[in-house]
Amino acid sequence: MAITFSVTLAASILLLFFFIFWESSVFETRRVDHQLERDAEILAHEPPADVAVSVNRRVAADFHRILYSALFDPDGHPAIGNLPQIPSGLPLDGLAHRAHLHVAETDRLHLQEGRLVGRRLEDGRILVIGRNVDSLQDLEDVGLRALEMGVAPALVITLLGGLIFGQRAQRQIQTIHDVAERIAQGKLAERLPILKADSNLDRLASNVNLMLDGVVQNLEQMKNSNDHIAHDLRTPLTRVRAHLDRARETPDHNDKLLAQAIAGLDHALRIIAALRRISEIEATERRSDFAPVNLISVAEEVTEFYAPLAEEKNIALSLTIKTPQLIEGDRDLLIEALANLVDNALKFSPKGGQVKLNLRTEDHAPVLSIEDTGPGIPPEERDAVMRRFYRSQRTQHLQGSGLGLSIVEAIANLHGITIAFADRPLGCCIELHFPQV
Amino acid sequence: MKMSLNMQNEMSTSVGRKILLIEDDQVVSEEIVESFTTKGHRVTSTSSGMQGFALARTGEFELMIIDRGLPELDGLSIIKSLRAEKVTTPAIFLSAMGEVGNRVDGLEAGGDDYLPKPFHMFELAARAEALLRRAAPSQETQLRLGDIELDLLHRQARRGEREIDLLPREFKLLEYLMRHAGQTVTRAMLLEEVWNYKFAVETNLVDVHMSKLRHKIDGPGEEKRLLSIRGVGFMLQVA
Repeated sequence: MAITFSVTLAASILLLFFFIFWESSVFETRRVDHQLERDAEILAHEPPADVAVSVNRRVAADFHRILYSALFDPDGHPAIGNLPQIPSGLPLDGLAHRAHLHVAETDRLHLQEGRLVGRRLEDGRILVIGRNVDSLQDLEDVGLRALEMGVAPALVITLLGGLIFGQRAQRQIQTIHDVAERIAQGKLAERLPILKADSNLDRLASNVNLMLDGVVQNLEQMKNSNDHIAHDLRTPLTRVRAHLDRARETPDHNDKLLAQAIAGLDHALRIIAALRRISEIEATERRSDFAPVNLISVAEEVTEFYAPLAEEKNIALSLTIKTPQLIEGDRDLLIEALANLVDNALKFSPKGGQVKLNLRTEDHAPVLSIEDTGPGIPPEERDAVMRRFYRSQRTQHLQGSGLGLSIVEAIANLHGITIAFADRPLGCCIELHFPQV
Repeated sequence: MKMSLNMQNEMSTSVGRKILLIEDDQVVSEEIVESFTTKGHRVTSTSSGMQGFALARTGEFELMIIDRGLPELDGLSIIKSLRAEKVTTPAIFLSAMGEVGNRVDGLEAGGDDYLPKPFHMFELAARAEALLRRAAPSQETQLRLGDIELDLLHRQARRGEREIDLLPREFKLLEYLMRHAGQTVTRAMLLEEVWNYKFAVETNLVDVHMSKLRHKIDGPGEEKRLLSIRGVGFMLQVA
């Protein structure tokens, strides 16, 4: 890539140079020709007696000795001027032509190249004027030198640079290949090299590295939760095994043991179902099913759903609403989240306790709090309770998958809801802070 | 299995119905065949989606139980093609895939119910029963089951002369039970159909709601009509 680019660049430089060179030399030649033709025209129309004087004056005035001016007899013998003969092959048509000619200089003849105009005057004499084009030659020389001194090194630099950069990119890509291969083999700590050149390749490499960081983090989380899943499934399954073992030993009275075994398996299945539910929620495209949801109706429906259970446990379940609240969300998921929270609150509150739902506005955003009179969550455990499978020592006797709060968290993440724990002297108060509408 | 055998006596089962089972998991397939055969149904089972599709097209079955993830021709495609050919045999999907989103896909494809694996055999039996007995949707405004009457228009419930005061959700619950009278309905079916909840509720909430409803329906001295079927669900008895 880099090499193709530098070759193209070099070719353009050359092309540009030759264009300028050619244009300027052609232009200069044309300018000279035009002037000569005009001068010849003027001289030709002077009175015959004056022509010789003018020719002489031209010769005399030419300090640099670049002009040719001469008058020849009708038979071609030189009369006056600095040309010993009419250059061979010069048409006498009054137009400028290129010609080689011999010039008398001090005591010898020089062969020179020039642009010359020849024309026959009315009295038969022949006028030849011209200009040495050595200066044009100089111009060409300057151009060629420029080619040598400027363009050639520029070309070399371009090609070399392309080669070097190309090889550097090639090396970086090769390293990326090597590293990617090692990562694929499981060496997840490896990262792609960054050359600090701020190139596209570097930006790509650093993005890939960021992605790898995320992948590693997810893998670690997955590993952690795999450990937890293994542990949490082992507990009920070990019990099931024990129940079944005992049932085999006492075949006559095994109804209760079998029922216990089935309950243990159900517990394990509940954990699996909850885990699948969490992955399902986490895989949901954000806002794919979002529609305006009235939080009041969500809170009322969940309160109504749990009212009989609260009544049975003699817990006062109440809902207070300060302001109506419309948000964008998935109503079914919000009900599921709130149901989990109310379920927990009722589970942890003792008989005769209270569970209070409160819907209000704080800083223009809806806040829904669920407060209970259960054992509460000590501040040092509050982060941990959101972790999958975490169960406070004090509530481990209660049944459940232990994944309810993780489901709530997954739903909250989907909706941009922040979960906070408010301090209460008694019980637990969980607040759902919805994003501003 | 033992459970479904016990159940048989408790629920009045429609017998001798033709059921098509398309399931490639041998163990699950055998269990389902045994369960439904024991109840007196005739089950044709195949592990091939192509063969199952060909069988279903005959239209001679009254219920189809189809695994969603079959090798060559998957369950969703089978049902979509059948529905396109106007084969309306009710169908239950069995699926090892996640719950809510996939359930929606299954129902949209033309399935009538969707059961994620693993499931209890009683759950499949109850849902199959509900579909086998499903009547055409009626326009009636009065439901009657013995001395229990439900006025859908005026939202009133009576048992004999006695008026039953029901909350809106309880009314919906009773309506569902009356439409499925004599059938076992499971907690999951009630959650899905009455509350429209697709998530699992950990506590025995449905039981609490049912027990409140039972107190209102079966007054003191009246015959018990709303039965609990242990480990399975509930049934509103035909008088």
